[in-house]
Formats: sequence, C-alpha cells, structure tokens
Amino acid sequence: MAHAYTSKEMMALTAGRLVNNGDVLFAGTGLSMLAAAVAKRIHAPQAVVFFETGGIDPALKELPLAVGDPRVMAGTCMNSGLIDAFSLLGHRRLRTIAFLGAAQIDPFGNINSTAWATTIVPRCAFPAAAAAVTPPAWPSG
Amino acid sequence: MRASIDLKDKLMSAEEAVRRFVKDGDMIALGGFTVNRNAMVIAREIIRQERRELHLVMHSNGQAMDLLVGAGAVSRLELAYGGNGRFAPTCIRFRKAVQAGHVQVEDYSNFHMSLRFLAGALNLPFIPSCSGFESDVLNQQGFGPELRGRGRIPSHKAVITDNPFSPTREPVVLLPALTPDVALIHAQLVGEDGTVRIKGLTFLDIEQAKAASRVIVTCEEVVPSAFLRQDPDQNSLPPFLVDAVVQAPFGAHPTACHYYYDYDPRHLNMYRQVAGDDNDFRTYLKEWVFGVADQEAYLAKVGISDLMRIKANSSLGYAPGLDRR
Repeated sequence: MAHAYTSKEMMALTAGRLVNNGDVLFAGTGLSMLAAAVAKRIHAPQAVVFFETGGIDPALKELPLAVGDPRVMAGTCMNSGLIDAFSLLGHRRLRTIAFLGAAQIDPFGNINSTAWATTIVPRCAFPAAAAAVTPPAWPSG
Repeated sequence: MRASIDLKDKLMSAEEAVRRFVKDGDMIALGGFTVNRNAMVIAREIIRQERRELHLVMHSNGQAMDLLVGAGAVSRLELAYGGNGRFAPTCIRFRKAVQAGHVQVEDYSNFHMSLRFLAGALNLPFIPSCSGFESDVLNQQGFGPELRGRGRIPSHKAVITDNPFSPTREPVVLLPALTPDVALIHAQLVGEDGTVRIKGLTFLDIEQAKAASRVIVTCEEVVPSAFLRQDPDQNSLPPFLVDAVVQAPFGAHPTACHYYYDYDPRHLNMYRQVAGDDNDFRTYLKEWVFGVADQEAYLAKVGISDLMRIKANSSLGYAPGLDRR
C-alpha cells in the first residue's frame, strides 16, 4: 500500500517539530530549509530562520532551492553576508538550533559532506564541508 | 598603487579585463554564492582566452567554478562547497574532475573560508577560530606535502595552538589568510566614479574584493555617481579598489541577480544533463562559450522568452511562480 507521505516529508515534519515558537534557527540547503519552513508555517510562526549566506528572517513565501537563492533575501529583517551570519551562529547570547544536511551519517551522529574514502583519494566527491563543520563543532554556551 | 577614481580608465570589455588582469596560474577568488551572482561573463571569457593552471578560492560557488573546472582551466581549489543547490547538489564537472584526480582540492568550512578572506582583507597573516576541532576537516589534507609551502600555498592547512591570553590555555585554530591575485565580482550597480553597489545579500564579496590584488567587477548597469551618493549606506566597495568594470546585463546568467533576474531553471537543468557526459559537455562549451563572442551573442542564444521568464519582480527581487522543477 502506498504511503500518504514520502520519507523526505516525514523527515522534514519530524525535524520541524523540534522547533519552538521564538527559537532562532539556522538552516542549510535542502531538507533543512524544508524543515524550517514546516516549523514556520505550521506551529512556530515566530521562529526566526536565518541562513549562512546572511539572510535573516526571510518571508519564505516560496521555498528556496539553495541558501544562495534570492528567496532567502526577500522580506528579511536584514540582509547581510557570511561574516554576519556566522556571528549569529556562534553568538554567546543566543542558543541557535541548526538543521544540517549531509551526504552520510554514522550511528554516532558524525556527518560527512566532503568525500567517501579520504579527501586525498576520493572515491566519490561530495560538495565539501560547507557550513556543516561550524554548528556541531561550535563550543556550547 | 591605484588611486584612480575615473571610470573611463576602468570601463572595458570582458575580453580586455581578462587579457589585462587574469594570468595563467593566478589565484582567483570567485564571488557570489551557488546559484547567485556568479561572474559568468568573466568565467566564460577566461575559458575563451584559455587560461590554465588557475587556483580557485571561494567559500561556496556553483556555476562559474564548475564551468572553469570543466573547461580544464583549473589545477586546484580551496573551497567549502561546490554545488548549485537542488540543480546540482555537488557540481557535476567538479565531482568528475576530483574523482579523476584532475584537480587538487583543499576542503575547509564556509566559516573557515570566510575568516581566511576576512584576514586577507584586513592584511592579517592568519586568523584564530574556535571552529572545527571535532571535524576531520582539520585532520585530513587535500593538498599533499609536495604542494605545502610552495608558491601561494600556505605551509599548513591550519594550526591548532593554545590561546595565549587565557590562563586555561584553551585550544584555538589558526587559519592562513587568503590574498588572491584576482577577485571576480558581479554587482547590480557601478557608479560613474567606480563605486560598487551590491543589492540583496553581499555574501563575502566585499571581503574577497578587499583581499585581492586585482578586482574585476561586472555589473548590470552603470549609473551616475550622484545616484549612488544619495544613499551611500547602501554601497559596497569604494572606487579605488576596483581595477576593471565590465558592463554586462544579465551578467550572472544562469545564476540569479537580486532585483534583476532569478536563476534560470531551464538552463541549469539543461546544464545538469550535458555536464554528466563528456561529449555533451564539450558541445556545450562549443555552443555557449566558444560559439558566442560576447554577452550580446550569449543573450541572443538564451532567447527573449527565457530572459523574460526569469525577470525579477521589483518588489520581491525574484521571479514569483517561476517553474523551478
């Protein structure tokens, strides 16, 4: 019997439900921004979503297809750049939630977005680390 | 030393800008981000003029990087992300080139790359960070020992040391500054004095331009200086940092330019198809790069209906309802 939803939709909903109204949320490309949109549209309209590219609290009337999509620049409280975005991601006054995409994940939650095998002799190149290193590796506080 | 603020000396064709300011082996910083504001006019011209052995540095770039890599112009890259969002989560020619060993790649995070450009812009030799300790990004090397310390390649990818200002000596990561030979930037507006205004997100373009020895700016429009000086809070770069200005309407196509046009899903989907096949990609280069002498010929080939389809709404900055499948 066919499911009424796809596994991607279920992942987006499940992740989106972790967001509380008023949270500050950092979202990466793909399923991450879909989860953020789910939260904003369904139960956390006051959550603030921002992107590593510098768009802060966009209207998200249409789903961006990349964090460089012009849709992350429309209806924002402000448009900035990467340095500004990372200053918020690591800000000591904020407890920011981050949704990250990855090519692979292991049972311990380690994620891989660079290459299968090693970076020196890649058997399969992924798009590289992007922003994914920063949120999990940031000191808590 | 450059102090000229006369645009007459700087306004030139893409052909002249590349001939004068881009050399074989240069370290080139690509501005923009994935599907947004890639300096495509300059990327195509670099391919036409057959520059080789380029060393590309960027945080996240998509189309310009993939085209340059696919055309064989690039030997090595330092980057955080090479993708076009949903259109190519990993850039296709880039992936092929990495897997075939045709390019050497050093992988940093976007935060690392941003800090490295910021350090270059501030004329600092390196910059500390607290990011990446738990990640293999700091443990794995893309550039082998034979490259380290040679030419423009720093002797280490990163150095972990103790914070000398803290009694508890927490570890910090030192990242080498980036000072590219050339930065390629696409902006919406340049004033007649050479002042640059980027609308929408600036990404890291301002830091990349300030870190570079030479700066090529392509723009949608050249406007009177007085117009940009009415609202100087909105401006991005002063005139004296810019070496070449190339007027190039739709100059970021098929990537987006906020308030002017969206990314072109039809072109990016077509590119994804052709990029997967070596012969088809050679045909693409022949038709879309070598087969068009300049931006006017390129836009004629894209065609009026596709350009109208991606025309931005002047309130939203993108094309609402655009079929992006």
